[in-house]
Amino acid sequence: MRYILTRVVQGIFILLGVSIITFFLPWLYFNPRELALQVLQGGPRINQAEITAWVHQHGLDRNLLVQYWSWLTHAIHGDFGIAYKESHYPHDVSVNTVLSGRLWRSVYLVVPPTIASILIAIPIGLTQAIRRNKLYDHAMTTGVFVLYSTPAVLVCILMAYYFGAVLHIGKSSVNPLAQGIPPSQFPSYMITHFSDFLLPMAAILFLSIGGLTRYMRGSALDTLVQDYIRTARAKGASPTRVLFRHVFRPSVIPLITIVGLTIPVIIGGALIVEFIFNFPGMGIQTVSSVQSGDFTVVMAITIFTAVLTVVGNLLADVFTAVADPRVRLTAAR
Amino acid sequence: MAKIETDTDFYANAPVSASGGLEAPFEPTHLGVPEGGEVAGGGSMGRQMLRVFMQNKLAVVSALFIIVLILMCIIVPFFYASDYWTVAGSSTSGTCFNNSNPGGFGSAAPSADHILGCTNGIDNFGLLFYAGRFSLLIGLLAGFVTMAIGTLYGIIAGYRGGKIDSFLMRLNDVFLSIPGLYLLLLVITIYGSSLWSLIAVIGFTSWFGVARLMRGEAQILRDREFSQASRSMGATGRRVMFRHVLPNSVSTMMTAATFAIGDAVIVLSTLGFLALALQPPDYDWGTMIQNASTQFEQGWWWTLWPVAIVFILFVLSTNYIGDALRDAFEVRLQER
Repeated sequence: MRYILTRVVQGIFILLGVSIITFFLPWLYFNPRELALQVLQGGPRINQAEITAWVHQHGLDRNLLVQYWSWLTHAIHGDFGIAYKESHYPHDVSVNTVLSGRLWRSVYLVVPPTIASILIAIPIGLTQAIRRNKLYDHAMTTGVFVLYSTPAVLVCILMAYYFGAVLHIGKSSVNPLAQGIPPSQFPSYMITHFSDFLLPMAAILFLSIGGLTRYMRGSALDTLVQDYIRTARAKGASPTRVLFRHVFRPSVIPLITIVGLTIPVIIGGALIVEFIFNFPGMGIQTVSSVQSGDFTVVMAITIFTAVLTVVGNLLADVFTAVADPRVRLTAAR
Repeated sequence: MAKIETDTDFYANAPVSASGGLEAPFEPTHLGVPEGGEVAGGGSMGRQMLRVFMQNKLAVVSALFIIVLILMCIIVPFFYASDYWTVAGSSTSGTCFNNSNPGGFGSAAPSADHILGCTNGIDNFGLLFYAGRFSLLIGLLAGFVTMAIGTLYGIIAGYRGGKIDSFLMRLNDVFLSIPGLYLLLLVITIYGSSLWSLIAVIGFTSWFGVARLMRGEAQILRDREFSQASRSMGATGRRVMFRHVLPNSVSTMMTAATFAIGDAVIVLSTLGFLALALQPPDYDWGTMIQNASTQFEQGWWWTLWPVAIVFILFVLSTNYIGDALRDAFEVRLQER
């Protein structure tokens, strides 16, 4: 319990650091008056006084530290400010409007294939380790290596074309109507319109499975050379018993941490997947916001992804502590 | 149940030394530093590491592939016209003219004149290597920046230890918890993308893993005998760090650098695909893939497959080389 508490406090400090970086990186560079000029371009006649008034109205003439504090306190309450590039004078569009529902849609897109890839990676990695250096292992290693080395962009394009446009297994583009579905109804929408989401989910599966299988194989190989495995075999335990009683648990435990660590990679990959399959999630919004230079939106998304990563790592650590008694002991010290 | 093989006779019948410029970075003697551990026989540590590397046929093929690819990227653009005007605008039979395209100059299937076909009136073969120049240049330099920052940061943290270490590593944790691509996009949003800014941005946003790795390495090397000996003779911390710890971690750095370069090229292609990398007339593989992705859907497979295959082979090669280097490095660990 104390261990979990320490990790939570650490996570909060990390997020504080993330907020400092994401805030100051853009704001040290941006000139609020130029920003005002861009936003006010929709307005009738712009003069210097109006720009000054706009800058003052949005509090951009304050001390940077004060601005950071106000941004942070608003962000904690879930208000990420104004999406400047989406705004047309005099109407401000908030970042929350731009992002509404997108975070949850992305989570719904990423979670099922990630779980599936873990469930597939464990048996593949284990059997590979047992049949080390046999044809099966080499074939699998090569396949996994190719998957692992193929960039997300190519995986998605090839899947969208060959499975979507040629073979018609799934749709190569998500129906734009999906954007109007509120987050609460989204999971059921995904089930009823499964062919829309089959390919993007499969793409995420392919993107995450390579790394996980490699780690699983390595971790199982490490376990297999342990003395207690030899002891178990010497005692006459059957191969299946050795596998399930002695090899399985110690090799899967490190994988939990790895899953936590690959979360950023999966989120990054999901950006490409969303972009290519036109999925109305956070990733596709990131791309368009980056392209238009709308940095407040990008800041909010960066914070979201960092929160997901920190929470993911935290959960991974907690699960590891639950699954591995040694971790509990060292933490309690 | 399969028996677990132990690689005792791993380099028993390995080829005795082979030249090819690969061994130079492995030779600790070049660096004039104390060696760690005695080698029982069979040549220097660097030789043994080279042998293990050479034993890995796949890695040797990968290294050859990358060398050939780099040479092609340097040489081909000099001889092979790939720009729009020379290829599409000339009146010879070698134009990238496509009857099915109302605009005229478009995408044509591979032919004797254009062995990889054309994209938007540009010869694909020439463009592949022209874009390769930018991709590989940015990849190599960004990988170098990544390694330089990560190594320096990691070694200082690992060697100094204590409060400096925990501060630097907590800061590193903060950066590591922002998914790399998002941090990169945030920075690109602000600082834009030109050749040099791409190198800087990719380099500055991907060194966090390297820093953590090098910190672990520095922590081990700090307590080795030669570091202690050097300190006892009155060497300053900086001297021990850069004359003893740094040269002895060259193998780890080589491995990490291989992966860093591969990653940088991937990241660049992702940016290129999102139209956030170089703008024409500069090209990179990601931009090529982006152009191809729209044409590909019309059945023009030659626009995507050549660049896709070269690209995947490149990344695959860096991964194989990285793995082989790691194995070669483990030989050194065994000797310790």
